[in-house]
Amino acid sequence: MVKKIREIARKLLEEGKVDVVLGYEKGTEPLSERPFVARTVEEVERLTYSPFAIQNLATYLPRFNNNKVAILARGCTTRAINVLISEGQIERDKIYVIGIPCNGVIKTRELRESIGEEIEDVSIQNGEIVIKTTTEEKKVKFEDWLNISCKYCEYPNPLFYDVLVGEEVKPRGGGYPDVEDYEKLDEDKRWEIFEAEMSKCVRCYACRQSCPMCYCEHCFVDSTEPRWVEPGFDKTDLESWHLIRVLHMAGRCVDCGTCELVCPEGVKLLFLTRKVARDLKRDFDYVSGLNPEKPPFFGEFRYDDKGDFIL
Amino acid sequence: MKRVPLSELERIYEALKSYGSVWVRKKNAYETAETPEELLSTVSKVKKPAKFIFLPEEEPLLAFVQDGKNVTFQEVIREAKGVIFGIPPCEAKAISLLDLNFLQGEGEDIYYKKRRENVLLFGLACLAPDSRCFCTTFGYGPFTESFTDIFGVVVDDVLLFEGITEKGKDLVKNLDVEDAKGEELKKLEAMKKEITERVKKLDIQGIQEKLARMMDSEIWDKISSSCLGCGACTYYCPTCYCFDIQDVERPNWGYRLRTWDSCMFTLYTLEGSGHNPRPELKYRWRNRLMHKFNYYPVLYQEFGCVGCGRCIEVCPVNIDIREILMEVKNEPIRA
Amino acid sequence: MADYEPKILTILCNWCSYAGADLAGTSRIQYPSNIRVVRVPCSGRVNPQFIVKALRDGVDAVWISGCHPGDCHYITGNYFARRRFYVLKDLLEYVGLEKGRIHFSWVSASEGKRFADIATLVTEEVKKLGPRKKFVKRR
Repeated sequence: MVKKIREIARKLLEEGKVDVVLGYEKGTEPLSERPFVARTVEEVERLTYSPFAIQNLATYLPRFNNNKVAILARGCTTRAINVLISEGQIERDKIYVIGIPCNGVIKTRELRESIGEEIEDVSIQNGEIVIKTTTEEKKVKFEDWLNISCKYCEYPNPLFYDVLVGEEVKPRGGGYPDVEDYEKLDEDKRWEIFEAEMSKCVRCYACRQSCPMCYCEHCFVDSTEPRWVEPGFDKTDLESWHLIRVLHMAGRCVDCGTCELVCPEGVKLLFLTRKVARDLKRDFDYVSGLNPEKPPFFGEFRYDDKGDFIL
Repeated sequence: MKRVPLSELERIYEALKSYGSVWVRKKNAYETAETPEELLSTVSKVKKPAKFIFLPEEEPLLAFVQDGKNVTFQEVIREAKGVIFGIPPCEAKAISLLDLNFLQGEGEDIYYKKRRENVLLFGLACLAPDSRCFCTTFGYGPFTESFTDIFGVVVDDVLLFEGITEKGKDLVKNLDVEDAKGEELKKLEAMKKEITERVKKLDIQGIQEKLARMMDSEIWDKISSSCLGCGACTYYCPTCYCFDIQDVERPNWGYRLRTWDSCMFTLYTLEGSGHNPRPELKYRWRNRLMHKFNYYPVLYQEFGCVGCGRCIEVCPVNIDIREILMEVKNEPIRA
Repeated sequence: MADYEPKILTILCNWCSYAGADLAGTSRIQYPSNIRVVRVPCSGRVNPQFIVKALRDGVDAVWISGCHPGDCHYITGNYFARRRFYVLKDLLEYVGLEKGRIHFSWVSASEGKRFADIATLVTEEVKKLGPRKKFVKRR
C-alpha cells in the first residue's frame, strides 16, 4: 500500500500534475504517523500510511488554495472535502484525491499514555497491536483502541477519488451506541460527566485547529465584542466554548474524530459531536458531507421539520 | 550530603510541611501531598510542568465592584507558599529562565515574585530520561543541582540530599539526618555518569548566530507546513510565559484576569487596526524559534529551551523541535 | 423557595410575538413580571450563542418566541430558527442541563391571551425548578 502511494505521488509530482502531495510520514513519537507535505520527488520516499495516521488531511486544503494538491483521503476526508466545497472554501478541480479505504484509526495518544513505558517498536499483526517496550512485549486488540467514530463508521471508503489504493472495505455501521448509553444516564450524572470532561480543557484549541471544518479566520471564542466566551478557566466558559463549537459543527462535522484524538488532555469531545450527528440523521435524515451540491444543514429547512418541542 | 532512607521520609516531610504546601509529582500535574508516602512518586516527567505553580493558567489581578457612584477596587495577589518536592533539573532550570524575565529590573512582576520567593525547589535527579529528552544539549544534565534550593538523588532505597542555596542549607541544617555513606556517594557518581550519557545530546553549536541571518529564509514555510497553529506546545512548555490580560465585566462587578497566551495564535499579534504583523503561521513559527534560540540568548545569554521534550509529546502532529533545530543548522544560507 | 423570583430572558420577534405581548398589555391581561423582553427583527435572528451566553451570564431561563410557521414576516426566518433551536435544546438537555430552562413558542400578533398564558406557564415551570445550580459562573 505504502509502495503504491509513493508510486502515485512520485508520478504526479514528476509529471507536474500537482505541486504538493498531502500525506503522512512516520513521526518521532512512538505510534505517530504525522501529516507531511511532500513537495519534491525525493520527499515522496518519506510518505507512509498506517492506522496511526489520525489527522484528517482535509484540514490543510484551504492553505493550499493557490496550488494543485494531491491528498490522501479516507472516507471521512472525502466527506470533509465535500463540506469544504459546498461552503466555497476549495475547488474540486484543483484537488487530486488518492483514495484510501480505511479500517479505522487508533487512539494513539491514549494508547501511548496507557503504556507508561518507553515504547521501542510497534507493529500491527492479525488484529493486534504489538508494542515492544524496554521491558516487555505487550499485545492489545486493535478493536479495543479504535477511535469511537471509526468503530461505528458507515463511510470508510472514499466517496470519490481520482485513484484508489487498495480494496474497498465493508462499512462497520452500528449507529451511535455510545451516545445512547450516555443518554440513558440520569440528568445529574450526565452533567457531572460533562463538567468533569470540560474542566480538563486547557484552551490550547488543538481541537479547533485540527478540525477540517474550522477554517474561520475569526473564531467566536476569540471575539471580545460580544464576549461569547470569557477568558479564564471557569467551567462555564470552557463549557460554553465546547457547546458552541459543537453547535457550529452541526451538519458539518464529518465525524473523523481528529478533535478528540489530538487533544493533549484527552478531553472527550465525540460524545457531543456524535450526538448532534445522530439527531440530524434520525430526525432530519441529514448526513454531512455526502453531497457537495447540498446546502449546509442550517442553510436549508423543510416545512415538516420537527417542531413538537415548540409551545 | 545527607541521607534518609525512603522508608523514613516522614522525617523530612514534616520539615517540608512547615514551609507550607508540599507539591509532589503526579502524572498530570504537581499536586499537594497529603501523606509522606506521596513523596515517593515515580513519575519521571509530569505532564504539566511546575511553571503552573508560578504562572497559573489564570489569575485575577484585581477585582472591582460598583455600588451606585462608588467603585471600589481590590488588588488580588494569589500567593503560593511551600516546597516543590522532586522537581527535576530541567524544570528547575526552566524556572531560573522565567526568573530572568520576571524578576529583573523594570520588568519585575510582583505576582510572580510573591510566589517565587515563597516556594522552595527541592530537586531530585532525573533517573529516567526518556526518548524525548535532550537536556544535555543546553549545558546541564539530569544531575545538575545548581538551579534548585535543595538537591537530592534517590540511590537504591535511600534519598541523598544537600542544601544548595542559603534557604536550602537552612532547611537541611535543622533536619535530624545522618551523613551519606561513602559507598552511596560512589554509587551516585556512577549513576550520574551512566544516566547523563543516556540523554541524547544535540549539536546546536552556532545556532543563535545562524538564526540571526535567517529571517527571510524559506525554511519557515517548510517547518510550519504541517503545523496546525494550536497552542499546545507553548502551554506545556516549562519556559514559555506569554500572557494576556483581559477584564471580565458584569453590570456592577468584574475582575481583571491574567491568562496564558500563545505566540502560535493569530490573535497574539493582531492589532486593533486589523493589521497583523505575523499574518501567517510561518511568521509565528519563526518568532517562536527565534525567541527561544536567538532573542533569549541575546538578552540573557541563555537558550530559552531546556530540552524536556514536552512540546514533542503534546504536539497533535508530532512536530519535533530537535528535527527543526537540525534542519536550521543544515540549511544553507544564501547570500 | 416561595419568594424565588426568576429572571427569564425573553426574546420576541418584532412582527408577531412582540405585537402579541403588546396586545396582552393593551388588553390588560395580567402576566408575571419575571420576563425581560428583548425585541429582535425575527426569531431567525436569534443565534443559539445568545442563549448559551445568557445562561452563563446568569439568567434563570430563556424563552424565545416567533411567528407561527407560515406567518414569518420574512417568509422563512422561523423555519431556519426552528432547526437551530431543536439542535440546541436537545444538546443542552443531553449534557444534563435541566429540562425547562429553555422554552420556545409561536405567538402571533393577535394572540394576547396566548402570550400571557405562555408567560405564566414558563414562569411557573422555572419557579418549580428553583435557582439554577448548573452552568453558573462563579464570581
